[in-house]
Amino acid sequence: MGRLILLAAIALALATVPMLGNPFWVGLTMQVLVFGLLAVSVDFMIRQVGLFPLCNGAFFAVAAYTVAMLETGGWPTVAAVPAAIAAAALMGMAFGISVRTGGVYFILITLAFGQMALSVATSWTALTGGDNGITNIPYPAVAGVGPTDLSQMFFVVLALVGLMVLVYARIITSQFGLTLNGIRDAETRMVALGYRTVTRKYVAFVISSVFAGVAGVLYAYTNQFVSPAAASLLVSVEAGLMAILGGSGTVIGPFLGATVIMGIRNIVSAMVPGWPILMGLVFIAVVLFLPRGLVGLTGRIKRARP
Amino acid sequence: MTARHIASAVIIAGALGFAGPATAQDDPIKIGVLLPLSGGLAASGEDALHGFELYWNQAGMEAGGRPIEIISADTSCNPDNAINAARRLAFNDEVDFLVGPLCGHEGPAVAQVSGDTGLPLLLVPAAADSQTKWDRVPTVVRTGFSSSQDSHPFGEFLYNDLGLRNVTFVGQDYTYGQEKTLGAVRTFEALGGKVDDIIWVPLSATDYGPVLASVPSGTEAVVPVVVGAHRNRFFETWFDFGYDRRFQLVGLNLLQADALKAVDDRAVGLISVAQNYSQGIDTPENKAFIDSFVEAYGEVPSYFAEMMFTTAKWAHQAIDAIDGDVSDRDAFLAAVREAEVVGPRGPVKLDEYDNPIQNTYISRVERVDHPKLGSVLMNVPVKTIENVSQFWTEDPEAFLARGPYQR
Repeated sequence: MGRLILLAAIALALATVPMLGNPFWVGLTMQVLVFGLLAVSVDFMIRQVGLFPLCNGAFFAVAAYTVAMLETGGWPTVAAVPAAIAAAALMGMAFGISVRTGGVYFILITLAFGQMALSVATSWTALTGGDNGITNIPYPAVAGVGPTDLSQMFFVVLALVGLMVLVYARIITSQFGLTLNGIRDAETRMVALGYRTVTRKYVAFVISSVFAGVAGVLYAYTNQFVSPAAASLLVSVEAGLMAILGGSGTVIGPFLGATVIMGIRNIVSAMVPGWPILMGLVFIAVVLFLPRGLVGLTGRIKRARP
Repeated sequence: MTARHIASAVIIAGALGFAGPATAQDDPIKIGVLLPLSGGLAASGEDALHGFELYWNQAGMEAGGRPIEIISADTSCNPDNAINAARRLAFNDEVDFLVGPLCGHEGPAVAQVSGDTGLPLLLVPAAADSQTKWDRVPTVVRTGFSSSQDSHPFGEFLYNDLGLRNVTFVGQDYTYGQEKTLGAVRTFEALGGKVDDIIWVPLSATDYGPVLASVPSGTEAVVPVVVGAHRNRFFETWFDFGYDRRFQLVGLNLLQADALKAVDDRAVGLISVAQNYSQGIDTPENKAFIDSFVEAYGEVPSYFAEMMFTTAKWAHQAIDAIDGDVSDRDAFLAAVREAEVVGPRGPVKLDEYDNPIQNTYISRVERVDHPKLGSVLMNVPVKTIENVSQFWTEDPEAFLARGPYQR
C-alpha cells in the first residue's frame, strides 16, 4: 500500500512537468519514462530470470517501426498499436529460442539477434527509410480524439507507463514471477520439482518483449520519427545499465537509472565537455559502492540514522 | 523533506526554463550549433565547429551591428539526443536560429524541432537527399550538400573523362552510401556504361578481404563509396592484397582530408573523392581559409570545416541584409535564400528546393609542400564541374517523381 502511495505521489509530481511550459523538459521527461519502461523490460530478465538480454532494442525498434509504417500509411491508431505490440511479441517468440542457452551464450545469441534487426533497419531502405528513418508520425488518436501537442502527449505517456508499471508489479509478485526466481536461483531443483523451466523462461522472454514493444510504441509517438538508432546495441545495453544503476529488482530503479543517464547526457553534457567520462565514473562508483543501485541508497541512509 | 526537494527542483527547473526575454538591438544574436562532440564522430564534429568559430572570429564576432554568441550542443550522433539538444537550444538558451547537425539520421529529428517551433535551421553537413527533395520543412534551408549531388557528374566523369565502360561499385550499405553510389550508377549507365556489380558493405563490416575477392574479374575499375574507418580499411586491403595490379581504383568517397592522415604515398595519384570541396582549390578565398585554419588549429580543414565556415559567412550576409533583426524569422530565411555567397568551396546559392547550387570537385591525391605543415598529402581538384544542381541536368519534377535512391 505504501508503495502504491509513493508511485501515485511520483506520478502526481511528474504531472506538473508540462506546467513549466517548456517543451525541452516535457520531451526529456517523456524520454525518461519511455526508456525507463524499456529498462523495466530488460530488468525483468536480469533480475527475475537471471539472464542479460541484448536484443530488447530490437523489440523496441520493431514496435516503433510498425507504428511508424502503419500510422504514416494511414492506419488508425487502434489498429497500429496492437499490430506493433504483436510484432514485438512475434519477434520475442522467434528470438525466445535463446532461453535454451544460459549465461554468456545467452548474451551472445541475443546480441546476434539484436544486430540482425539493426542491419535490416539500416540497409533495407525501401522498407525502413534507412538512415533517414520514418518521419511525420502523427500523434495517436482513437475515434478522432487524442493529444494534439507535446504536453497532452506527455499525459498519455505518463498514464500508459503507470499502467505498465502496475502490471509489472503484479507479474513479479505472482506465483509465475516467484517460480522464475526459483529458476534463477536453483534451476535443477525447480526441474526436480516438476516445473518446465525452459517453457517458463520462454514465456518470461516473450513478456519482456511485449514490455519493450509498448515502450517502442510510445517512443514512436513521442519522437514522431523512428531511425535505426532505436535498434542500436547502445539502446539495449543502456537499458540494462539504467536498471542496474537505478536498482535492479525494483520497479522504481530502472526509471531512476533512466533519469540519471538521460540527465547526464542531455543536461550535464551542456556544462561538462568530457561528460562521457563522468558517466563512466558514475557507473563505476555505483557498481563498487552501491551494488543495489541508487535505490539501495535509501536503505543505507535509513541504516545510518539511529 | 521530500516535498521540499520537489519544490526546489520545480523552482530550479522553472528558472532554467524561463531564461529572460531579450531581443534588443545590442543584445547578442544567439546561434545554436548542433554537432556530435562526443562519441565516434567527435573529431569530425569538433573540426566542423572549428570552421564555424574561425569564420566568426575573423568577422569580429559581430553581424548586422550586433554581437554574435555561439552556443554549441552535443548530439553524440544520436537522433534522440539531437531532438533534446535542439529543444534545449530553442527553449532554454532561446537561440535565434539553429545550425547543424552532422549525422544523416539526426537531420529529420532536428528539422522536426525547427518545423514545430518555427526556428530557422541551416541544415549542414547532414546530407540526406530527402530533406531538400521529398521531406522538405519550410523553415529548413540546406547550406551543405545532398548525398547524390556530386555523384551525378562523377558518373559521367567515369564514362567521358576516364573512358571506363565496365565498373564495379563498392557501396556502404546505409542511406548516405546508397544515395552517393546509386547517383553515380544512374548517370554512368545513362551514357551506356555497364555496372558489373554493386557490392554493398554493411557499416559493421571489419574485413574487406572477402568484399574485394568478390569483384568480378572482367571489370575495369572499382569505385568505392565507403565512410569513416572503412576508408582506411579499404585502402589497406586494396594494396596489401595486390588489387592495384588488377583493377583501376577510382574513389567516389574514399580519401577525404582526415583519412589522408593515415595513408602513405601509395595514395599519390589516386582519384580520391567527389565532393563540394577540395583542399587544393586554387582561389584566394580557399588559400586564405586553409592558411588561417592551419594557423589556428594546426591541421588541414576537412570538408565539414569548410561547410561550416561558408555557412557562417552565409548567415553573416543574411543577418547584414536584414540589419540584424533576426527576430523576424521569415525575413531571415528570405535573406538566406537570396544570398549569393563565395566561400572557400567557390560560389554558392540556393535552388528553389533550398539546396545549394555549387561546384563539384573531383579530387586526386598529391604530395604538396605546405609552408606550415611541411610535405603533406592533399586532395587537389582534377576536374571542376561548375554550378551543379542536386537534380543535375534533369527536370526537378521528373527527378522527384522517380523517388529516392534506395535498395
